[in-house]
Order: sequence, then C-alpha cells, then structure tokens
Amino acid sequence: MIRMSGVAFAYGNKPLFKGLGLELAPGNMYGLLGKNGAGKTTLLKILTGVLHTDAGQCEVFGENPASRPPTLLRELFFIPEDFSVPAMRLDAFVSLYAPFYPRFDREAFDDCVREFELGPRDKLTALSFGQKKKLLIAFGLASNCRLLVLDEPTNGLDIPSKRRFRKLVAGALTEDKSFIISTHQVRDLETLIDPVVILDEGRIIFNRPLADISRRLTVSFAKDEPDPDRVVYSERVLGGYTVLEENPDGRETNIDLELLFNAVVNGREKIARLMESEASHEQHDS
Amino acid sequence: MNSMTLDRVFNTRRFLFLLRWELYAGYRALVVILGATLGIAFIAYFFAVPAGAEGDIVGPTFSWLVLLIGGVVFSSRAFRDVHRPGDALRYLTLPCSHFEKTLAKFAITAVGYALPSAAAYVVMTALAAPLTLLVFGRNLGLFNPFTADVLQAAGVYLALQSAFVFGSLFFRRMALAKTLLSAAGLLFAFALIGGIVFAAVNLDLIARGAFEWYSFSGRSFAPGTWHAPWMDAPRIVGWIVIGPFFWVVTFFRLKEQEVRSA
Repeated sequence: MIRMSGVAFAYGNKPLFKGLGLELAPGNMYGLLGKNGAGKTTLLKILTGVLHTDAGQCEVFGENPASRPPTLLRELFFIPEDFSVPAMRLDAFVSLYAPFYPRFDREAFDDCVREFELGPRDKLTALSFGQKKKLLIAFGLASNCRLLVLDEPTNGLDIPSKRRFRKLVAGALTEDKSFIISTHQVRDLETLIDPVVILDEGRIIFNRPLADISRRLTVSFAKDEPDPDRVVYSERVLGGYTVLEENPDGRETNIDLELLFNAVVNGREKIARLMESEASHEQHDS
Repeated sequence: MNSMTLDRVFNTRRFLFLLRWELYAGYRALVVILGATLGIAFIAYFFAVPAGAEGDIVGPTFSWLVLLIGGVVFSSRAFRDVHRPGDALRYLTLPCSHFEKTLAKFAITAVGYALPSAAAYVVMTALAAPLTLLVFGRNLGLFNPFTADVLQAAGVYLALQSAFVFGSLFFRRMALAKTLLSAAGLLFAFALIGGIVFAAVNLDLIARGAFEWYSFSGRSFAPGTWHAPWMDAPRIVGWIVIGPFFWVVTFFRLKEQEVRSA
C-alpha cells in the first residue's frame, strides 16, 4: 500500500533523509515515533504529497503522492499538528468539504461531533485549538479514506477527549484502511498503535508489530542496577530500574513503548540482533 | 484520453464543488475590496461632476478603477492560503487536480470579480447620477456595461489579472507590491531596450522634436509623430498572449508547490 525506497530529502543543504525505505500494509495503525527533528512530520508530508523527495521512490496506493492526483487525494486525509480552519460554521464546512470525499459518512461524522461535544452551528474560528482538532479528527474518520495520517493527534485534547479519541479511532480501523499516527505522547496511544515504526537519523530503524516485540522482549522492575550486558536496556526510575530484557518463554507481555523507544534509539544493534534472531526462529519453525 | 485519465485532470462535478468552496471562502474579500473601490469611485464621481469640463472622460476612468485596481488587489490574494502552512496543507491535499485548482482560481478572480464589479458599478452610477443631478444640476450619466469599450477593458483585465494571480502564488509575502515591482522592472527594461532601438532607427525624428518637455499646460498627449501599422500586431498579440502565458506558468508552479515550513 505504501512503499518508499531510497528516499532522500534535504531542507536546503541540510540533509534529513538519505536512502530511507518503508513499507506499510493496510489494516494497521502505525505508530511513528522519533526524536524532535527526526523528520516525522516531513515523512508524513512526503506521504501526503505536500513535500517532494529529492531522490528515491515513493508510492501510495500505486501512485506518486508528489503528483497529487485527485484519485489519490480522495483516499487520504492528513490532520497536521499545526493547522487552521476556514472562517465558517461547522455545518457549512462539512457541506462544502465533504463532497470531495466520495465515501464520506455524514452519520458517522455527526456521531463523532456529538461525542466530541461540538455543535453544527459552531463558528470554526471561535473554537479552541483542541476543539478544532476534534473537528478535523471527526472529519478524517468520517471521510472513510484508506489512509488517515495524524500528526500528534492528542496534543491539545483534554483528558476525556483523549479517551473518546482512542475509542473512535479504534472503531474506525478496517482491513482496507491504514492509520499513521506520529506522536511523542506514547502513553496516550500505546493501547492503539501497532506496529511501531521508529525514525532516527534519517532512516527507519525499527518497524515491527507489537506481537513480535512482546514475544521477544519483556519489561521488568529491578531494585538494583542491572548488568548492562545481560539486559537490552534499563532506565533509572523512582525506587529502582525499569528493565527491558529478552523474553525467556516467548509469551506475549505488555511493552512500555517509551522504554522500547529509548532502547531502540540508544541500542539499536542489540534490538536488531534480537529481532533478527526472532525472524530466523520463525523462518526455521515454518 | 480515456475517462479514467480525464477524471484525473478534470471532473465537472468536482470542479463545481471546488468553485463553490472557493466562492464561499473568498466572498468576504471580494465584498470588501469591491466595496472599497466602489466607495472611492463614488466619491471621485461625486466631486468630478462639478470640477469636470465638457468632454472629459472621467466616467470610464472610474469604471477602470473599480475593475482594474480592485481586480488586481483581489487577484493578488488568490493563492494567499498556499503560503500559510495550515491552510496550504488543506488546499494542496484537497481532492482536485492542479488543473481544476488553477482554473477555479482564475475563474473566481477574473469572471468572478469582473461580473459583480460591472453590475455593482451600474448600481453605483444609478445612485450617483440622480444625486449629482440634484446637487450640481449635471451628471456623468449611467454606466452601460454592454459596449465594445467595456468588453475590451474586460479583455485587458483578463490579461493583466493573470499576472497578479501568478504573483500571488509566486511571492510568499506582499504579492501585490512585488508583482507591481516586477512588472515595472520589466517595463523599464523594455523601455530602455525599445528606446535605444527607436533612437538608432529614428534619430532624425527625435531631432525634429518627437518628444517635448511637458509642463502643466493642460495638454494630455503630444501629437503622434511616429506610428507604423506593423506596431499594432505585436501589441495585440502581446495582450492575447499574456493571459494564457500566466495561466500555464501558474498551473506548473502550483504543481511544484510544497509546504516546507511548520
């Protein structure tokens, strides 16, 4: 569905991506993680066609997003971190904007809007940042696009809205759709995102389903500092250490995404070795 | 071109939705700009009536003010959204082709401005004429939009505004001023080259006084001393070419437009 290979991109003479490759399949809610300035938003912009690569291949549903054909644009909806809304009322916005999306579900939109406590006569420019974001989330979900791209969707949402957001997004994913959620707020979304994609130093350094990860890795707590050679990664926390280590029995466990992210970024070779051995076990078993 | 390929370039239904979106998003600016230029024209009309001499052509000048000045100001805002990251993302990912987006912008700023401005100007003169007749005992008459002059003016507007629409896409900030500056720069270069060529070919004409020092003597134009019939052809072709040239470059520029900031 989404295929990128050898992608290079630079802001002026400052290179960001060099030889970036990525493959994303439908039916998943990808969590795109990365440090500040890693290029998450840039990657999302390339996928939605608003930035053009300097080199390499990028395909979304078999089309080059940079050419922005309407046949592709009606299949994707991008909710950026920074956005603006036009000066009109909510019902006018929907009646003017929805016809561009052939599978737009007005009933689903009204349900989402109700869930987010917005009203049809609300003036968009008078809404708070969080309310505007809720409107776009409701619209994006109701558009039934095959690719929904969300950049920091929970920023600006209050606590009840984050719960509603998770509920609505989880209910909207189907086999033919894909959601890409870029976030720093992994705690808000760790029950949602799977697989996990990590971007660092201009490359995708990790792209795994949670099931794979949790079969191979497990999180534990230790009072004393663990031997770094015997664990994958550890972090000092109140009263001891959170430890990411090899999962001895292969049973799926809950994974702390923040810990996983830090482990991948700080010790990618160790993680890569573990994951590759997992892959080779699977190949051997089959 | 098969229907699948055609759908990627132009779809009537989609284009009408886009026009509706553009009209809704842009009507406030149109009303404000048109209102402001009409207001100036109304004041100017009112004060020109007692001051004007018999045979003055102030009436058409005011209609030009509304059409051209208001029109280029409106056209210079056409692609304003493209330079504001939040709006640009929505606009560029709006499911329409670049052709439809370009066509819609030109339709709104050219026809979408020219027609309401002509109608509004008719209404303005209909209000101003009886008023000035009442106050000063004379008036400039009503504006008739169905004359050859008006059609010619509309053609000139169509050509000129296309440059300002392109300017609004090309220049990130102060599009109107920068487009005017660019046009002035081009004209200056053209005048310089033209002047040198003219001087080289017609040195004796200059010696015989084709140009005079002008003063506030009341005469508007120096008598025509040099005009070759072939000069009309490039002038007419120029006016015909300007519009399509900027339509095409605007289309290609829009295709390359990105959202680099934010």
